[in-house]
Amino acid sequence: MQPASEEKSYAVGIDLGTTYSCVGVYKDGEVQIIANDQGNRTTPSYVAWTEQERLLGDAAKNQVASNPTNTVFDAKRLIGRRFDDPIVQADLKLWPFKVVSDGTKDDKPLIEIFYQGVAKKFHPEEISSMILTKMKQTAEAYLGHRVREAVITVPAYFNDAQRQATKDAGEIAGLRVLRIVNEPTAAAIAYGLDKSTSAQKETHILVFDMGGGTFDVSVLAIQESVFEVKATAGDPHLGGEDFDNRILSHCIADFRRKYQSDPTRNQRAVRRLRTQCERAKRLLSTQTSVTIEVDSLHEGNDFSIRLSRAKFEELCLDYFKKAMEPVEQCLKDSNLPQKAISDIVMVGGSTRIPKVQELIKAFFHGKELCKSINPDEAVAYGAAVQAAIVSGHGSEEVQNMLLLDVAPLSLGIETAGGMMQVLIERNSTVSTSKSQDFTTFEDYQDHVDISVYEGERAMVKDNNFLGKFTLKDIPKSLRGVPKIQVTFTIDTNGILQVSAEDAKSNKKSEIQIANEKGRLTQNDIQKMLQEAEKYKGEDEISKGDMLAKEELKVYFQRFDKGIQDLDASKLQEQDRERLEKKLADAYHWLEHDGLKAGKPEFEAKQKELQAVMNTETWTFAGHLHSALYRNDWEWRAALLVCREF
Amino acid sequence: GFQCPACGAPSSPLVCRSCGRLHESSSSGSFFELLGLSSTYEVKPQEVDSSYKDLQRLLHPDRHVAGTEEQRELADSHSAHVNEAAAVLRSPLRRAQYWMELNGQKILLEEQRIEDMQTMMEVMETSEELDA
Repeated sequence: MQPASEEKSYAVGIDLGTTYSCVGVYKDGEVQIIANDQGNRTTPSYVAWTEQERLLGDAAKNQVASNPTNTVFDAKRLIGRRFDDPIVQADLKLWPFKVVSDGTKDDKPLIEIFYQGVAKKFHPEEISSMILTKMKQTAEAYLGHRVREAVITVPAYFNDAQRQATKDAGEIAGLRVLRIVNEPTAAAIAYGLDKSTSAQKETHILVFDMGGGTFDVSVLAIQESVFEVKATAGDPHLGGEDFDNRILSHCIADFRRKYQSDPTRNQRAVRRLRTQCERAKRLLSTQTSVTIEVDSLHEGNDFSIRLSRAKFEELCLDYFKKAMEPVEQCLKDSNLPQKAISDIVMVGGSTRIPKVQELIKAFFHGKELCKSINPDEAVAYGAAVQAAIVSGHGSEEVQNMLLLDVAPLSLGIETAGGMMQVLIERNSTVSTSKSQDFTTFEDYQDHVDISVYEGERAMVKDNNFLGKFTLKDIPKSLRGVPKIQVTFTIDTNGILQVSAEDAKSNKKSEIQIANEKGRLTQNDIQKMLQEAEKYKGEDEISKGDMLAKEELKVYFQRFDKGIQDLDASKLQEQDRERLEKKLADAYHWLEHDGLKAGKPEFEAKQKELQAVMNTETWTFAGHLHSALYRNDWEWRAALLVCREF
Repeated sequence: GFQCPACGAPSSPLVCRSCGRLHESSSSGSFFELLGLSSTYEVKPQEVDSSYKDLQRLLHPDRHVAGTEEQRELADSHSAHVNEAAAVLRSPLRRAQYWMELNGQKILLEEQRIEDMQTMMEVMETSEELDA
């Protein structure tokens, strides 16, 4: 239900990946995956600060070796985690940029960079919001319209905090996040549309989604365009980057052996070597051996090593084998026999690795894998379809689709002795809710604390602490008398909502719930949004420069065409030469001084040419009417630009 | 029957099939009634399935993103309710427990069951002794 006055707006689907992101839009009955300003259909999830400006995507990744400490990536490995999380502590050692704690009891990680001589700290949500902004701009440039709404994907195995933080990142980027969708589910939509799923018969598929940083497995039942997730499992910290790191360690050990010197502290060296390791890994999917070479890697020493596919597989075998556990778990949780799976859908860049394919094929007793969908784009494709569904812009086929997803982790509360009482079982279809009555243990107690956890272990200490909810302003009475019904709901984004009501009065409003989920407050988000707007201002300036430059180039072409279109009878030879000389000079200026110029300079140059055109036009004013009479719109346009009439 | 307050068409208590509006439901019917099935243990899985998906097509929060906050909240709670109904009726064990409860047979609580297990072990051991 869009108000009629509203300008046409599109809702896009964004696959916010650990290493690469991708954006798609559903338009004119089909999904378009949108290429960025470099012509690439995926954009590196990188943000960098140089002395002059902030860079996003390809521009940021391309300069990483020369600016390692101010180039930020892997925000997805930090988002929704605490600084003291062992995973964060392990990752820290591999990142060239600095990560610190925010020093509060929430112990949030902050990324520290230097920009224009000042240290600046960013939440992972802010870094992700910058990447989302880049994807949004990419879509806007293609559509020629503002983009205000998006569906953003997350790994199915992301927990509550990671989902909430991703949603916050969307808000900071100025997007209304219509839905957080699980990546393997989005991929299943892409697969389903490809196969045309209007069939009556129910089919079951398994999606194996291994990307740059995360790994998910989902089993779905598809029937008459209803996609129902039966079970999901995974590892939110397993992917291509872990394989890169193994190759990197192997290379560093080799370098040490050869030169008795350690390049680990040389950030630039490590970065250059890592780039070559990533490249080698990609090549080893199609060839059986590769040479990793970096000239003058460290202390003037060149580095070169031969890496076979077999060696690579040996280095990463424990990771590859570990990936089979969620497959087994997911199949078990889905209550389906292995032979019920009709297709195994491979998504994510890491599924190109032959050993990964071999292991999963062996698990399914030699069953062929489905590789018909694009492993890099399927998730964004599905997200774009989901965006069309929820915004009501899809075709009938799309509008008829229904997605039923599940919660990946069990949700429960702490009970006596630190035990976990499960309220919502994992793999429950969302949205799902469960109510539980709480009472007081002391006379006249006016508040009750509830600690909420997620995870599968029996003791809460082994599970992930989600937050403490405090029921306040409980009507004072003897212990055990109050009866407060608390409802825990996991919504369709997989995010927990808690509400409470006095079971006696049925009044919702009287009891307050203090939420301590350790997430950003609305206030924080507002502040970050303003900060982001400031950057947008800077981006706008550079965009303004580019537009002025483009306009000037277009003017050159018109100018040129204008001269060519006037034949000798209408333009005297010397005048022609003067005009051509003027144009050549302007071209020269653009290619040299123009490199450093901004919008004012480009506009001044255009005015200068227009002035020349003015004087020249007067001299051949006599010819002008006949020139116009030729009805050459190009020439007329050029003259209009000159503001001749 | 029930009439949709928004468009006046005959409507189910949860959602209007004509205009798609969700209603605040007052009646707390059984899961069987919710999915339009007869209250018997013997239900066909396909019937549960098709009725469940049919309802979700109308109720699911994805269908109400553009609605008012009140409608969005109703979509969340109604769809959660229907999800629960389907989860119970699809599982033979949970369906049996639910059906017995509906018919006044309280299922034994967890603690009672442990006691019961001990009794059962005793019974089994005694019968083994008798056999020997």
